[in-house]
Order: sequence, then C-alpha cells, then structure tokens
Amino acid sequence: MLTCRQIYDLITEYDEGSLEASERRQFEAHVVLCPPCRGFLSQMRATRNGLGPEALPEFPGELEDSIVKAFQAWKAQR
Amino acid sequence: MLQVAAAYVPDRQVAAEIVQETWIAVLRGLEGFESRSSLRTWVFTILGNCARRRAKSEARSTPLSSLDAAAGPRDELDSLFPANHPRWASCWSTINTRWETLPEEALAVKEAERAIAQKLRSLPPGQAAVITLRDVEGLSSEEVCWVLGLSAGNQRVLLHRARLAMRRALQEVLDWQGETDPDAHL
Repeated sequence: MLTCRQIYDLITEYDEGSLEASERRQFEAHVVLCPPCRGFLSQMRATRNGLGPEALPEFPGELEDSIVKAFQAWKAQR
Repeated sequence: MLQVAAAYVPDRQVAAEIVQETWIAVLRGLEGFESRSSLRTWVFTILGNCARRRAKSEARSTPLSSLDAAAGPRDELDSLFPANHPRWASCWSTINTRWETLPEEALAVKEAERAIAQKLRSLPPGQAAVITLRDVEGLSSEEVCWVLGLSAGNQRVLLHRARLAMRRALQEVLDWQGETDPDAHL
C-alpha cells in the first residue's frame, strides 16, 4: 500500500499516465480510500485547469513595437 | 514566449531579443511551414532553437534540466508530512474537510489570478517554462520535451514541482486548508 507521502510524489506521473499498470492500480486503491489524497488530487487538477493566459506577465510595449517594426521591414522587402 | 526564453538566459533584455528574433524567423519560415506540427508548437520550437543558440553564445548558460535541481518542494513537505509524528508519519498533517468540495469558480477571482501570475513569475526558470508551455499554452508533454530539449523524465519532474508550487500559492489565497488536527484523519 502506498503512503500519502508517496501519493504526493506520484500525483503528476499518475495524471500524465506514465505510471506502470501495477503502480497505477496501487495509486488508485489508495486514493479511493483516502479523502485527503482525493482532495489533493482534485486541487492539483483544479490548479492545472485554472492556469490561463492571464497568468502570463504582460508583454512589454517596447518589445511589441520592435516586433511590429521588424514585421513592417520584412513586408517592405517583399 | 518571454517566460520560455527566460529559462535559457537570465537577462530579461536578452530574452526579449530572443522573442524578437523568433518572430522574424517565423515570418521568414512561414511559407515553408508544412503543418506537420501545430503552428503554435512550430513557433515554440523556433523559440527554443533561437534561445539555445543565444544561450550558447552568451556562454553562461546551464543545461535547462539542471537549473532547478536544487529547488525541490522541501519546505512544503516538512509541513505536510512531519517525519516524526508519533502516529501519522507519511500521512497528511493537515486535513481539509473542504478539499472534497472544491470551488472551481474560486480560481476565477481576482486574488487567485494575481497569486497565480505572481507565483509563475517567481518559479525557477525551467519550471516556469514547462508549466507555461503545458498548462497555459496547452502543448503536449512530447511537444514540450521537443521544444525545450528535455527528457520525458525531466519534463515530468519540472512539471510536478511547478504544479505543486502553484497549488501551494492558490492554497494560501483561497484558504483551502482547514483543520490542522492529525487525529481528524480517523
């Protein structure tokens, strides 16, 4: 039987589908019986699903300007 | 894109130059794009190549996978799983009865958004690059390995650490954690 600590370590591998079949079964057997680990798994999934473009730092205005200039120069050459 | 470029070079200005160089390379290559991969993956692949080339010429780069090796989630582990607990070693030290009814809509609140953005900026660069490409940009694990030149194992380790850190940041604002009595485990 896996411990909660091991579930914590394996949680991403489980979600990535990279656990071997026997380990995956042990993982699921633990999670079914352990409410805190079930909660932790759902929090990890909610965290993943909650990440969107708004998490990214703002694109610096001067970089945007220089890219637009590069685009215009490229277009002028064609 | 800046986030990903910053994984290779410490200087924000150089990272910005890599992004610009990438867009120019994208414009030049666009006609030859054969849609064997998605356009998005193709753009990030060019970014990875530009960044690696630039990092090499800056000669102060470290391989991406070694960047975050020391930055494991140790501090969190010590508080979540106290090794010397008389009854519950390797079990959760803090049990949250609310964990089962997770308010997904809570993630949309401004405070949570801010916490996510702030945490993402403070992650070690390799973790930030992997979680940005996987969970924000939606690339597959294979695509991320390809773009960043990582092994599948290293990609997973970086993703795991990054997601743990993001969950932790959210926990702090959303107060997901409630009771702290280990015997509540019964």
